[in-house]
Order: sequence, then structure tokens, then C-alpha cells
Amino acid sequence: MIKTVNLQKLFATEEVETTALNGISMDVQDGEFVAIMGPSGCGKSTLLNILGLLDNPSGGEYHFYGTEVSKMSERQRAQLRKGSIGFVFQSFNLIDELTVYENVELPLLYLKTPADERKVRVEETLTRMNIMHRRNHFPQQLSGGQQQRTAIARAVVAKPKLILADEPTGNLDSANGEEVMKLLNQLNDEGTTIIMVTHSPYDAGFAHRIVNLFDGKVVTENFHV
Amino acid sequence: MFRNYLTIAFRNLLRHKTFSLITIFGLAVGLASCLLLLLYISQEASYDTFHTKADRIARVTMEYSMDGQVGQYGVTGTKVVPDFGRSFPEVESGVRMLAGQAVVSNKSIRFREKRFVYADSAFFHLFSFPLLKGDPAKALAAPNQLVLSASTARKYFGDRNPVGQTLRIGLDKDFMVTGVVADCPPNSQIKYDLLASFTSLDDAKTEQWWSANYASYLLLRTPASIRSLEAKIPAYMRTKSAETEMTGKNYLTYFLEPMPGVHLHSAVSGVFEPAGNVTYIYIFGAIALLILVIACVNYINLASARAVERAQEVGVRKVMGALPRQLFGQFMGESSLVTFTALLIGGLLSYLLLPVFNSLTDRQFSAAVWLDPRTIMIVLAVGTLVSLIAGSYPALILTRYKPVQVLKGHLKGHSASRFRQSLIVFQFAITAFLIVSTVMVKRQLSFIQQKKLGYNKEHVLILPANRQVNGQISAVKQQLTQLSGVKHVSFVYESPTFVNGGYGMRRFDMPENTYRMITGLPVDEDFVKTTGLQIVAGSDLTEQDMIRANDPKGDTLNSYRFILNEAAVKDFGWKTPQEAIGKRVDMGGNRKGEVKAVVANFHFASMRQKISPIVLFTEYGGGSMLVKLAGNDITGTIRQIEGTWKKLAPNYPFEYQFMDQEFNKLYAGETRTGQLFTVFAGLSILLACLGLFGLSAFTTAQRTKEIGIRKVLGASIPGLIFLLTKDFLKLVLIAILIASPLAWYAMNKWLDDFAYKVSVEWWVFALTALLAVGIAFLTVSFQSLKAAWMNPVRSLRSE
Repeated sequence: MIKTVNLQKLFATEEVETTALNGISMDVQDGEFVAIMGPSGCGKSTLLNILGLLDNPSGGEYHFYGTEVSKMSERQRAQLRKGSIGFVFQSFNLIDELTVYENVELPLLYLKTPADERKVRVEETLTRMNIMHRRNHFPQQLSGGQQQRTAIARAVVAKPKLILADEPTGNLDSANGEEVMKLLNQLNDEGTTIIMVTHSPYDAGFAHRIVNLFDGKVVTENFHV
Repeated sequence: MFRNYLTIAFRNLLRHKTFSLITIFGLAVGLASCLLLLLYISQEASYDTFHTKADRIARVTMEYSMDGQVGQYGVTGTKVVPDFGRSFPEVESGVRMLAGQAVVSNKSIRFREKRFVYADSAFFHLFSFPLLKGDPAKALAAPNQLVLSASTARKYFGDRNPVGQTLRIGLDKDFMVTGVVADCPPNSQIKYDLLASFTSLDDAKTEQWWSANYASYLLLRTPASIRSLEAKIPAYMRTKSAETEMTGKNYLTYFLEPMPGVHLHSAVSGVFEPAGNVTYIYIFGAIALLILVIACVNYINLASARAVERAQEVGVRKVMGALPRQLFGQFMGESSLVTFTALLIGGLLSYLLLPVFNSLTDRQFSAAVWLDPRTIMIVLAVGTLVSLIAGSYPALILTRYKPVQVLKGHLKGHSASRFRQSLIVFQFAITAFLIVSTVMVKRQLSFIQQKKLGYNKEHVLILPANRQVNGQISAVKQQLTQLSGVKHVSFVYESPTFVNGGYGMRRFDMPENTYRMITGLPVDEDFVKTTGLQIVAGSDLTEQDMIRANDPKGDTLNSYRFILNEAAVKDFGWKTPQEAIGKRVDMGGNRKGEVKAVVANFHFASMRQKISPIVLFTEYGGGSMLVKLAGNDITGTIRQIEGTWKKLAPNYPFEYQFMDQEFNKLYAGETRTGQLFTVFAGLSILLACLGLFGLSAFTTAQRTKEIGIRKVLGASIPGLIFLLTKDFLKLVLIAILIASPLAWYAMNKWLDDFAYKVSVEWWVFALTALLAVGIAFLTVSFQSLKAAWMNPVRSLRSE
């Protein structure tokens, strides 16, 4: 479903040009759980952003479900991303002015899902993420674990085929982190493809495959099971 | 989705109270000012447009030239309307009017009516004043007929039908009421409470080119014929030169002014209320706009500054698949919410402030105007425009954020800060401009107040003289001067604060019929004493002079005595005031005599004009009575005067006015402008400071960490305050530098209207700079102090 060929990403400022990605070629199959690891600054998040259609590569090809997307405009990418990719961030990125319920509802609003269906799906997801009792709370009133569960609920509510998680446990204690990983694992068991950036070898242990990056290049790939 | 936008907009407003308060209150005040000033402007601009035939009606103004001196007047003789009607096919009809005062009584109900107008019978044919009772074709057709305004009818007759009743005008003339007309609207230059038939006047029996006391209006067959007829008049009037006695280079001619333009655009004053001034319309319009702009700038500045805070939301929404168009719509929606909330509050505010505004402008605006669908449309359009202008920039910034950048690193608002800085400069430039203008208007007004006028306007009562009083002048004088609080009593044609009378005068040794134009005022022997004029040569008038001048059997070649001012002496070519004394002069051929005294120049007109030649001459004018009070126990003295008045003139109401009040009326326009400037300059300062306050709160919050680090490294509190305020103060100083030359130019232009004026001095700008910087410093340092006093541990943790 995802295939990159020789992906390049350059960041240029007035003085220096940094190569963040240097020829990344990789495939991710449907239903796979892939962890991307590597030291700080190796290009993990840059890769994730490109895979998530948030950014364009400077070179190379990116086939997203058979469509070449590397030259698409922001507008086209937004259309493609809507409903097909869910995002989970380290810092949760919930909107402070919206309640748990409203945050989770947001992707469905942009998908123009009818109101009654929206209600069913949001409540279903909240129940599943065990956050239903907090539906009318604002993000600041929640613990970190609850916030991340809300963020995951928001990522999955539109039933995307792909979830991209950027250090989803980075801001959580181990108990909450464990819970989040189990949730992701469960989603993967149900067929959702997951690509996760992480520093934690333990978290990476949940994945089928670990891709190690160094200086913008894939150095090793380890397969579990 | 819309509900989601609305929810988030509301929650944002509630969460950031300072920001919301500043923007909404600022916009509300800006919009309220706009609404109020719009009222004023729309009324001024709508003058006389309610006449359905307004485009075909023209006011006739007169111009004549005598020996090279040209005079222009908004009045004509009685002949213009009937003669033009007969001679020019373009003229369909016309009306002559004489405006004045009259004491009107219905048995014991008695008032001095200040808006008593004689008008030709075509009045209701030309003008669209709705006649509520009576026949418009006949109501003013015969002598001694009277049409009352609705409120005047109530005043004299209560709820009874006044038609067919009689009212007494003056002492002994009875007029029959033939109609009731609606009260004249505030945007009418023709103002009346009572209309009497023109044929009631003795002057109506003859047609004269001269004796120009009448307002003349013509109704033409087509709007275009106003200009074509006007072009024919000079040639036509030359054919009448024998009648007008204007031969050779001298001429008498007329101009036509389209009626709707008279109020704002005519330079010639007429017999009704003083004309408006289109300059002030522009000024007030500009002020309204500037205040609104300042309020918009606050919104733009604060919203774009806060955009950084909302970057995360934008990022998340973009990740969820929001399109730029949707985000733009969301933030525009928010600005509309803010604007229309402000509009609602602004509307309420202006409704509540309407009485204050009315007293400030000396008008009677009613809130009903706002309910007019057209006004509502305009207001909604303004609201939409403001939300578009104020909302689009912040919306644009927010929409442009790249989700990757926003969700990852910290965004610094540097790209927009240059823009915000320019806006602050712009805001404070407007404010500085308004401060300078306010100071200058106030200075000019106090200059006028304090300038030596050449006469003493303090403690002088002006009473309207009347037939009963004029019939027993010496008894009145004697009885009043017996009162301990009264020093002098003088009978005069009109008060010296503003002398209207125009005459021609020549030295005896000049050829006949070569008169110089001169302002003239009939006075009695007590006038100089009463007004405190300063005699520089010769001696004051005596009772003997008055008797000689008014003796029908006296020497007509030398019966009058004249007092000239220094300007007249110069105009007649005498080298010193002394030289003029005893010289024989002739005024208009019917008043001859010698110059008895010369007085120092005094201001008998507005300070807009240079002091011109004036002559005071021995004649009982019978218009006004001046009473100079000693100055102690003024109320007691007035009560005594009233007692004497009631005995001497029982048929006339006792009314008086102080001369200084009358003087102040001359500058009512300027005083009003001064007050409006003060109010709106104050408002603009307030708004600009609110914006600065919000913005400094924001930047200070952004620099919390920096402040913490600096404090840990040993920065002092004054040092920190300087650090945080200096950027803002720099902007204010730049603003003043930009505003100063503009204000200097504008104020010089305004002062050009005055012959006597203050100069625009450097210290006004220094004062403005000090004021603006001081206020800005106080505003910003409030935030800075808060930040500087904060425990550095807290500020460091906040990142």
C-alpha cells in the first residue's frame, strides 16, 4: 500500500543545507505495524511527515495506495489525507477550546459525516478508548494518558487505513504508555496499518518490523515473528 | 461544522477576556462614534432634499459692485421674483420671504416668536412642507393671513382647531389663521414657526431692486434651466441699469444657487439659519473613519499576534484535512462574530449617548433614523466591511501556517511583527494628529475669547426694543439708570458683536455718487459709554447731537454726527484720526453731517474677517437696547429691570441676553468643533492605548522566559522595563514624526479662515509628543512591571 523510492528531503536555510532524508526506499504492506527508530535528528519525524502527506519530499517517489503523491499540492494532499490517515502525536495536539467529544468529532466534521452517524461513531470510539466518562471535559482537565487516549480516539474515529504515531508514549509514564501501546496493538490486530516513530525499544517490540534510520538513511531492518 | 466554529469562537472569546474586551469594546466604541457622526453627516448632507421639486428650485443671490468694491448677499429686493417671472419663460413661479421676529398673542397667551416668516402665496407650491389643515393655494393668498406650525398651533390654541381664529401680531394687527403646517424638519434651511402672507407687508405693494431684505426663491420649469437662466441675468440686468442706478462700471446682478446645495456649499449667508460648512462634514467624516480604523487596527494587531497561539489548532485542523478555504472561513466567521457583537454593543452605546451627542452638536437627532431600512443596510454594510478588513489579515496568517512547522517546533511571530509595528505607528500617528488639532482648536478659541475686542462685552444685557419702549426712550433711560445696578442704557439698531448694516459714504470733497462701502450702525449718545469703546480723537456724542439729527426741521446738510473707526479714517484717506474730526461726510445722500469722533478699531464681526471701516451715526435704530450693569448682584438687578420693563412695555415679554453669550454664538461652530475634537481625540487615544496594552501584554508574555533568564543573570527591574517598553516608545516617536508635518499643514489651513489667529508653534508638537509618549509608556509599563516583578523561577518554568 505504501512504497517509497529513493526519497530525498533537504532543508535549506541561508547558510546551511541539511539533508534530512537521503534516499529512503521502503514498502509497508497492508495491516503491517512498523516502528521507525534512530537517534535524534536522523530524519524519523521528517519521514513520518512525508508518509503522512503533511510534507512533500525534495526528490524521489512516494506511492500512496498506488498514487504518486510526491508532487501533489498541499490542497490535493489535504483531500487525500482526509479520512485515510490518522495521526497520533507525542504532545497530543488536542484543541484546548474543544471538549473531548468535540475533539474526536472534528475529523468527521471535515469528512461531512451526517450528524446522527457522527454521534454513533464518536460515542463508540470514546467507549472503546475508555474515555466516554470524560466526554465533556476539556483537554487541560485530563491526565496525560487520558489526553493521549483522546488523541488516539480522534485518530481512529474516521476509520483510517493508516495510523501514523510520532512517539505516542513520549510524554507518558510507563503505565499510561503501556496502555497506549496496547490500544495501538489492538487496532493493528483489527487490520489498521500503523507506522510509529519511537525511541523506546520496548514500544518498538510491539511492531512487526523495525526500520533503523541514521543520517537520513535506512541502516537496518529487523523483522519480528 | 458551523456550530463547531461558533463554539470555538465563543470559547476563545471567553477564555481570552482581555483580548476580547479590548477588541469588542474598541470596535463598539469605534462603531458607535461612526454611527453618531454618520447621523450628523447624513443630516447635513440631506438638507432640503425632501422638497420634491428641490432640483428645480434656486435661491437668488445678489451681487453688486460700486466703485470697485464688490458685495454679495443672500437677499434681494422685492422686485426680483415678480420681474423674473414676467421676463423669463424658464421661471414657473417664485417666493419672497422676510424672516424676523414678532410678539404674537392670543389674549393672555403671549410670546416673542423668533421664527416669524412672511412668504408669498406660492410657498406651498414650491416647497414640500405638508399643510395639515387649510388650502395650500389660498392659505397665504390674502393680506393678514397666518399659517401656524403644528406645535405653534398647540401653543396658542391647545387642541382646538386654530383655522378661522385670529392672533394679534405686535400691538394692534390681527391675522387670521388659515392653515396648520407640519413642523419644519431639522434638515430644512427655511425655518419657521409662523408663516404670514407676504401681501400683509407694506413693502409688498411696491417692487424694488434695492432694499435687499428678502430671501428670493425661484421655481424653474426644468433643472437645467437654472444654469441657462443664470447666464442670461447679467445682460438682462444691464438693460435695467437706469432703474437700478448702476451705470458705468457699477453693476447689480444676480446668481442662482440650486436649493439642495445652499446649506453646505453657498458662501453667501441668507436670512435663515447660518449655513453649514462642507469642510466640517469632511472633517467629521474623516474623524469617524479614523476612529474606526484605529479600532480595526486593534483587532488586526491583537488577532494576528494571537495567531501564534492558535497555530496548534490550525495545525491539527490541517492534519484532519481542513482546506485553507475552510480555515479562512472559520477565522472570518470569528471576526464577524466579534464585529457584529461590537456592532450590537456600539448601537446600544450610540443610542444611550445620543442625548450627549445632541447637546455636543446642538442638534436634535432622533434614534428613529437608525430604524430606517437604508440606515440599517448601511450599518450592516459597514459591519461586514469591518469584519472583512479586520478579519482577513489574521485569517490569512493563520491559514498560511504549515502543519508540520506548527505541530513540531515553536512558531515565532516575526514575519507579522513588522506589519504590526507599522500599524501601531499608523494608529499613533492618527492619535498625535488629533491631539495637535485639538490643542490648536482650543488655543484659537481661547485666543478669540481673550482677545481685546475694542469694546467691553461683560455685564451688558441686550433686550429687544419694541414700539412701546421706542416711544418713550428718555423715560426708559431715566427709570433704568436710577437702578443702583445699572450704569448706562443705550438704544442701538443691533448689538456691536455682529453688525450687519451696509451703507455707502463719501467725503464732501469727493464727487457725488462715488460712495465707499462701509458698515454702519445707528446709535445714541450713550453707546460709546455702554460698550466701552475707546475714543482716540474728537469727543463722544451728546443728547444735543441726537436731537439735532432727529429734528425734522433741522439743517439737513449738517444734522448728523458720525463716529468712525480707525479703519474708516484710513479708507477715506485721512492721515490721522485727528485730521478726520470735523470733516463733512455724506451717507447715502440722505444723512449728512460731520465726523465727531474716531474710535479705536473694534471687532464688530467674526474674527474670520479683518476689521473693516465702520461708522456709528446719530439715529435711533430701535432694534435693541443695551443695558450696562455695574456687575454686583446681577440677578437682583435683572429682576428690577424686569419690574420696570413690565410697567413701561406691558404688552411685550421681558427677554434678554448677555452680550458675551451673543458673542460666543459667533463661534458656536468652532466651539462645537473644539468639543467634538476633544471627545474624539480622547476616544482615539483610549482606543490606541487599549491596543497597545493588549499587544504589550502579548509580547511580554512571549518574552517571559527571556525576562526570567535576564533576571537570573542580574538584570534590574528598571532595566527590564526599559527593555520591554523601548520598542513601543520608538514606534510612538516615529508616529509623532510622521503626524507632525501633516497636522502642521492641516491646522494652518484651518487657521487660514481667521484674520486673527494664533500661530502653530513648536511647543504644541513637543507637548503632543510628551503626552503620547507618556500615555504609551504608562500603558506598556503596566505589563512590563508585572513581568519584571515576576519570580524568575515561575517565568522559566512557564516555557
